[in-house]
Amino acid sequence: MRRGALLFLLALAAKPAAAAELTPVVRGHTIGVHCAGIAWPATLTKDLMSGLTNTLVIHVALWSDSRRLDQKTAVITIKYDLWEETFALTITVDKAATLTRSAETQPEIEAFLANLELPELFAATEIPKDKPATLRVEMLLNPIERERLEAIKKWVLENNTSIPADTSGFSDKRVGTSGSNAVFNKIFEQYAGGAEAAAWRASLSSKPFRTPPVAQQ
Amino acid sequence: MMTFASKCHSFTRPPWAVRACVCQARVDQRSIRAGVCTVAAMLLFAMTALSTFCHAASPEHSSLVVEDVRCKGNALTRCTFIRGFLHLSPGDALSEEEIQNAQLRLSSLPDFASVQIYLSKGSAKGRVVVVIEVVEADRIENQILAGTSSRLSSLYQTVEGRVAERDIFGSQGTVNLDVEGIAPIDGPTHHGVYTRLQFASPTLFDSNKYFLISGATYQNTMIAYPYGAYDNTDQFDIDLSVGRRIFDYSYVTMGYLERLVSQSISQSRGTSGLFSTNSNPNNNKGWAIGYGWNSEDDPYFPTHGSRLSSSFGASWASVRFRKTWSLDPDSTVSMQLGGTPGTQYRASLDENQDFSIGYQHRIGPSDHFGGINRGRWYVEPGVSYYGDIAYGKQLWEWGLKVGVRFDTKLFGVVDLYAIGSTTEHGK
Repeated sequence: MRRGALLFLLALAAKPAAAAELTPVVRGHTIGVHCAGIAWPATLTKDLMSGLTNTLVIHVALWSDSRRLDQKTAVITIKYDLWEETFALTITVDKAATLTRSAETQPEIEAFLANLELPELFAATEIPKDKPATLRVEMLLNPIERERLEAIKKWVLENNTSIPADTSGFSDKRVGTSGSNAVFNKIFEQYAGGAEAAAWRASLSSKPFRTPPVAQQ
Repeated sequence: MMTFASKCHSFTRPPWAVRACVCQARVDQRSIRAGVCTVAAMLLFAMTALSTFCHAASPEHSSLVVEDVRCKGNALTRCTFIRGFLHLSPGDALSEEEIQNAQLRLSSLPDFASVQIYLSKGSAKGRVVVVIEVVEADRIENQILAGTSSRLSSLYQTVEGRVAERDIFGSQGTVNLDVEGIAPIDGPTHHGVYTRLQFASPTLFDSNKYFLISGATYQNTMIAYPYGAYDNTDQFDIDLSVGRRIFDYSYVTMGYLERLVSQSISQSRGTSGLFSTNSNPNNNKGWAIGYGWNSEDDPYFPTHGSRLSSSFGASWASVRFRKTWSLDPDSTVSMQLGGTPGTQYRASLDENQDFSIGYQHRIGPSDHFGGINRGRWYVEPGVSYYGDIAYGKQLWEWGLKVGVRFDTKLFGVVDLYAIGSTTEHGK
């Protein structure tokens, strides 16, 4: 039995699950997040069944009064066993393992991702009394470390065979080969912007909420 | 406390090896005694020995072994070419890190619209086939441009089309055909045709450092200016340039041009007000050198970076530069000098002003016109200088260009613009 029942402080609007929604989850004296309706990349199902490790990094920040009170990073790894045809799922929060499950079926994994919940991330007491708070989440699927991007960038520069820009020696009209594909450009755009790089990322914010003085069932 | 821990799993080791092993050894320094040391040392040795047979359970290495590497979706690209970007061979331990690296390497190529790598079962448990699935990019690329211009008292229409095919004849070379027509609508005449057929090889002598560009160009234009000045050109030339990439984004070129047909007549009043005619420009052949760079992130829709193209011959010099800054995810601002420098793939089709500041705003994907992948609208106020056109008067042109550019599914890149200007005659 859970100690406290799930309490959504903001009523879930009766909207279709088309738009992603982030709602706070209060359990006991803790605050977590619940994400629903996330527009996962179209390739997600294939990625999950790839037999390779899929890593979802979720940065969750608690804000109040334009000030970040706390931040936690959850890492969810999902790996498909080609022979057992089941998934292994692990969740760590700030590098501490919080959940390890194996032999998950595909519908179970899909249901987990459709209603992604990370409970008990922050203490409710972190929020100043009588002040509203918001939760902000940033998700990255299979992020790429900067060191690796540095190495790949170097490789691309060394092996680049695209024709340089218009050489215009005799004519204004020159042609070369086209640039790289959109996903690659997107990754390096993030990298150049100093952000963590990933082919897919999403950001969500909750509506402002207040914690009740006593958590209810 | 000092802890040694290792976990290893193997499915494909020799029979005498452990099929699935978990080896752990702990040495508590507080309880070090001679016997314990010996046991610990033996455990450590055993663990080290086992770890040579079992792969450490780090994310980079798994117990899976590569049985084969296969390609999928490659209709025109050889699998050996694709496999060359994955540094894993049959018999190697699977490295997820290397797979991610290979995916990035392959994604950097213009050959593929998307790259996905996944595993499938091999002939036995623990043996996997690495499948590289690609969606090949369209090798034929089109660009259409249509613009209406009201400049220097002339009103005229420009229509231009370009078709280019990459990896022609199985090489990495690109063939490009560009045809442009200018039709007068009103005022001093402004008409002509321009066409260029070009071959570009990105790897000369099998070297990634050198490239080659050769082409044939035909131009027949008649452009009239205020005060009775005009420029009438009828030329057909062939050219060949060899370039070398230097540093990260730069290159140098050297080339030779031969004009097989060269009839060019320019007439202007000059400072005295009397007409002078120049029908022998003395540039029928010659060498040229060039220097440039391209650090823009996208040839058609740049959001940051810069491009420079410059060339210098015996009787001409050309410098073009553009820099783009991102204001926010939806808008950019750019500064351009000397006209739009050529891009990595397309010819420089833009109609330009000598100096302009541009603002571009993103237009999102839509289903209009058979599908728009991306687009932007833009405004470019600018200025051009035409020098001493007559009676010693310096002619300046202040212009405004507005337009839209779309990357469409049906027609390729489509550019529609209008440009208008007003002139100022200085003393």
